[in-house]
Amino acid sequence: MTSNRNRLTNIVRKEFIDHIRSGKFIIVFLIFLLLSAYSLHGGINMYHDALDRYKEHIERIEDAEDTGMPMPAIPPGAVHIEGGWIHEGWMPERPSALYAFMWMSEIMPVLGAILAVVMGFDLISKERQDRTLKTLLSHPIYRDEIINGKAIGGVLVIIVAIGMTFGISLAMLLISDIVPTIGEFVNIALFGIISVILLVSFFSIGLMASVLFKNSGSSIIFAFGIILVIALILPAIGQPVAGMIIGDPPEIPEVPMFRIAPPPIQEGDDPPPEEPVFKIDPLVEKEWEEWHRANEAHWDRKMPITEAFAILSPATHFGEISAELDIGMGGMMGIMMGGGMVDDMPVEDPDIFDKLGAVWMNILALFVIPAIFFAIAYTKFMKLDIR
Amino acid sequence: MIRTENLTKDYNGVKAVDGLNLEVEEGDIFGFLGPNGAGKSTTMLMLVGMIEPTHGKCFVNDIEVSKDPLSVKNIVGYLPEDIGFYSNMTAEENLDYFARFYKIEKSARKKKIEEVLELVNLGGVTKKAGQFSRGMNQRLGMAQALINDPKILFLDEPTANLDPESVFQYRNLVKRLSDEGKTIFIVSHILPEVSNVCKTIGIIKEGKLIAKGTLDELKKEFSGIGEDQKQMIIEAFDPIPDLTHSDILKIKYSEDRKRVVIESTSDIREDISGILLEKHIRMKGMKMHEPTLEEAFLSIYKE
Ligand SMILES: Nc1ncnc2c1ncn2[C@@H]1O[C@H](COP(=O)(O)OP(=O)(O)O)[C@@H](O)[C@H]1O
Ligand SMILES: [Mg+2]
Repeated sequence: MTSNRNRLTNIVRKEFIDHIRSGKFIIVFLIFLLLSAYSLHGGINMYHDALDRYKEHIERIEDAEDTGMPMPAIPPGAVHIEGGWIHEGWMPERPSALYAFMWMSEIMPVLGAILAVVMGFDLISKERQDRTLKTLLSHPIYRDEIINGKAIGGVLVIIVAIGMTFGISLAMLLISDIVPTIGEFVNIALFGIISVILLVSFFSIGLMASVLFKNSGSSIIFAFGIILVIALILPAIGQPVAGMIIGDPPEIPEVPMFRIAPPPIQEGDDPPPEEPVFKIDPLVEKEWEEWHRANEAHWDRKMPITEAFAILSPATHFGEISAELDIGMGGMMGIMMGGGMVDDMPVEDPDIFDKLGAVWMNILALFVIPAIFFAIAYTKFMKLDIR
Repeated sequence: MIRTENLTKDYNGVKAVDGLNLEVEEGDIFGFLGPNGAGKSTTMLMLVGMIEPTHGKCFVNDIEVSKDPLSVKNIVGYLPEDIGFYSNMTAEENLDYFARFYKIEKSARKKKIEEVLELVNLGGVTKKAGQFSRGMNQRLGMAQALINDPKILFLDEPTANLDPESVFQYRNLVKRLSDEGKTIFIVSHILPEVSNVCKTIGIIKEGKLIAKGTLDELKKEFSGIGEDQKQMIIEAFDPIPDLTHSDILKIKYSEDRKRVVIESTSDIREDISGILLEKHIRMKGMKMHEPTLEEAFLSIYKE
């Protein structure tokens, strides 16, 4: 009898080879690679645009210093430019190499779901349909070694697939003259790791479906159905449900935030000023401040509910973490919370551990989700009637 | 070598195998015969540790199967009914995958795979298993069961899907494996499959063992024609006159009296041929009618 390790290794080895030799996998992975590269290409262009703007800005500042002119005016309030937010009093900052990955972080949940489900949906059902499971089990192995081997084999393939994708991405960056700093490189590596876990989550859903259904067709429909529910439908109904529980957000004050002060009374022959003067009415300001506070309280109460509805969505957690890594645009939550990001913008960049600490719940969830689906697959598989 | 004690498998209240007590000696070729749905495959699945009995125990090589299925799987070979292989892999790759679960050195493994593929006439076949005919699949199944050089071989309907040539080769192979000292347990619902190769036969019906013994023992038990009862058939070109003999129990003439069936307490062919010779009746033939297991088996089906 061979040792447990050898038996498991044998299954992992076969599963790994099966995946990379499978036509289905090769086609979907190529599409995955192409679209990832395309999204990165878009990101790289965006980076170069931002870099051009940055250089222009620096030049203007230098010109201003040379000529003793005041600093070029920056529009009042927060201004959105592609790739990030800038602020009043903002000093130009060299764009980060991480911009290049922004689009990739957006398409990763969709492409990853397809790739990982294609890898998982027929792992067990096919062996039952083809009656190979019975043949396999007649040799000296434990049942759990089969499902563990399949899980490990799939995870290894995902690691290799994401590794290749990121290897190619880095090469594309370097070819485009973008050299990430050490810090950026760490963020990119972490983004790669959470991409792996994201795909493992979807893979575990596929594997579970393949245990629950003997028919591979039903299995794939079920897998995508589950993903649709946990990653799209539940998070989407979380908003209205929270609205129903908490009530409507406070009404926006009817008075405009800014009021154009009336031109001063004309005295003498001075010509009236050409431009109107912006002035904030203190009363109006108070009204807006109150609204602002009430609005924040409202969202604070809503958040746990909307979050609860998205708790099983790997894509949501992935989005939250990649936003914290300065890569994504912020998952569903970030977008729904509105302009929060401008207010939260820290003056100093926190170090990477602080950043990860801020999303530890999301990180934990990203590990727990595949564990749940894998546990269901495992339990059901151990009880399967193999006749 | 193989022993079951009150072995029972219950499927939702229906007993597929019902209190089975069976013993198969080392070196035997045991045929487990019974109509479809009798519980043969279920019994075999429990014996090879693929499913757990509801009640009772079974022992293979003195190992209680449900307590240590892995040790049992190590020393047995099992050919399931309707065996499946990985369609994207060749015969050799399929066998290599299974062989890796046993403690066999790499070079020995390669040799063993070649050897068993040769045994079932699949040597040099490079097609993927997905393109195999049902017969090839079945033969690969046999090779797969032999990959660990098992002490005991369990074969579930081994000749299903085989062409006559392959059936012939299969029978020779079973005899050869038996000569090598392997114990062989064959399940079938087809009588000749069992009667042609098996030394001992067990008959199962509705999950219960209803008879067990050698071919001869079973024939006697079920035909109602035993040591002290013989049946002869005589055919002639001329009408046969009334025959008399002290041993005759029953005699039946055909319409034209050119054929007669005699039941007697002993073999009286010599006496009868003397009588016919005396009366100048030209004989066409005379033979002992051996009761067949077929008849015996059919009588069980009809019950
Ligand atoms: N998974 C199952 N669930 C319920 N009944 C089953 C199952 N498998 C087999 N049976 C029943 O058990 C009985 C014995 O089946 P089986 O051992 O396959 O018969 P055989 O091999 O002698 O043809 C049959 O009546 C069959 O319907
Ligand atoms: Mg059967």
